[in-house]
Amino acid sequence: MSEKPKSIEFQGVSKRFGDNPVLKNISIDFHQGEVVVICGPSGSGKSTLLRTITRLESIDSGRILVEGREPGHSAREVNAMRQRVGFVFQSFNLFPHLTVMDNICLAPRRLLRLSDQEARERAMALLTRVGLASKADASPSQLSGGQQQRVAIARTLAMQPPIILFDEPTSALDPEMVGEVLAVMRQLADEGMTMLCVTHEMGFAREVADRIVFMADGQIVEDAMPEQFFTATRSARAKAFLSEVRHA
Amino acid sequence: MWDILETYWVQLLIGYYPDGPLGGLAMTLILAFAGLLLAMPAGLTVCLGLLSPWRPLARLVELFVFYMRSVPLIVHLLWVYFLLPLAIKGAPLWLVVLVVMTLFNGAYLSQTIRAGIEALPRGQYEAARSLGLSHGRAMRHVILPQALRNMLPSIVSQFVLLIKETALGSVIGLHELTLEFMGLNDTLGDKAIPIFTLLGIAYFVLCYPLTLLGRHVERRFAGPSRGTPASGAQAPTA
Repeated sequence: MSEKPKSIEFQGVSKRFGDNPVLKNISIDFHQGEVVVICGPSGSGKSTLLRTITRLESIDSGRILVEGREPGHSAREVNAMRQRVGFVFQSFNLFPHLTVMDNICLAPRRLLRLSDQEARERAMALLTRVGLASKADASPSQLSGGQQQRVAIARTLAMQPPIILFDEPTSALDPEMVGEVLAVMRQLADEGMTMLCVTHEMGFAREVADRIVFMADGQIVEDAMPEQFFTATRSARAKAFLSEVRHA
Repeated sequence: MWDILETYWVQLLIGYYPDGPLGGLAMTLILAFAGLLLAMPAGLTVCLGLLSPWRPLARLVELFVFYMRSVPLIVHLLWVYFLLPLAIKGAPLWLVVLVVMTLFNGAYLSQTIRAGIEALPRGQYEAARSLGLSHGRAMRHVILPQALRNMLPSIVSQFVLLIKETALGSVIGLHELTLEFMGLNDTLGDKAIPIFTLLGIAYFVLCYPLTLLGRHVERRFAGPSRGTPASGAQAPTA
């Protein structure tokens, strides 16, 4: 795993919101093809960590490298980086004024200059992959939460990014819909996608993740393979977290 | 009262055209339409200026909007009445009114449009940018279509205001509906009450259907275009 090239690197990254330090001197590397679950209590900084990668949040110090380079500050470079790093949101954020098909085709048509035909074909293939081919012409408001999130994943995949970030993708879903979304994510993992997932789904973490990163109070407390994390937890903090999650 | 209408309806409708300037109801309507047609892009431009990532521009536009909103419309009219002919020789009265209405309503519309944009969940903009779309493209394809749709009722009511604003053109001598009626009052002498009652009715007939349209549009768009799923989602946590 450490042979693979580095997809994302954090070098001494710190961030505060006002007086509140949210990331404290974070240094960590993520490699190509890794499926990493980032977990921890609320306020640990895990969502912020993800969001700083694609500059949805700024950082106060340190560097973040994407595919070996630190993207510059020009809009062009940031936009180019975001095409390579997909982002799936907790609240799906589908565009309600567009159909499912148009949601997926928008970026490929405008940014990758795909023709209408090519974009539609790609979209249909993706919708089939996530099991929603019949919903191509539906509007987002007609879909359940689980379906919306799967469309959101398809929309991200349409840009063919090598890396996808998932920010609590199932936290806003009713329990019975969580499975269908996790199934799609597992499929992606099996296909070798580089994935960083902030999630509370420990079952997914155990079965699919290559690595689990546990954060608390803005710091990385533990970073281990699932087997070790769950059965031979090192830190007291992580142990406490796990026992709470199990009894939830 | 209605006999006044019978006798003078031509003049009230189109002024002294073709023997003189176009006036009356025709002028009022044309001005209101033209005003709306120009105020919309003006409002959009001003709004985009307000939201521009380039601070100096945003500040400048803020000042403009603040000024337009702090000074009464009639004062704007008087000011442009004297100023415009300096820039454009022989500027006609209707142009003075059009320029003022465009700028004035543009400033107000920019606030309406901005409210519409800011009412959208932040996630919409974040999702658009996260796909790699530029700020401009995100606004054009994701934010503005939704904001304008939500703002349609406010925009319709702005149009009603525009129609009423044209009446102030009478102050600088523009031959719109109100001035025609005022002229009629001078001609007929002692018929002020029926004349101005008719004028009130005229504006009512113009504006009320539009107000109803606005309500209808509001009801239609208050519906499912909000993006909340039919089932299966709770409010986001963490």
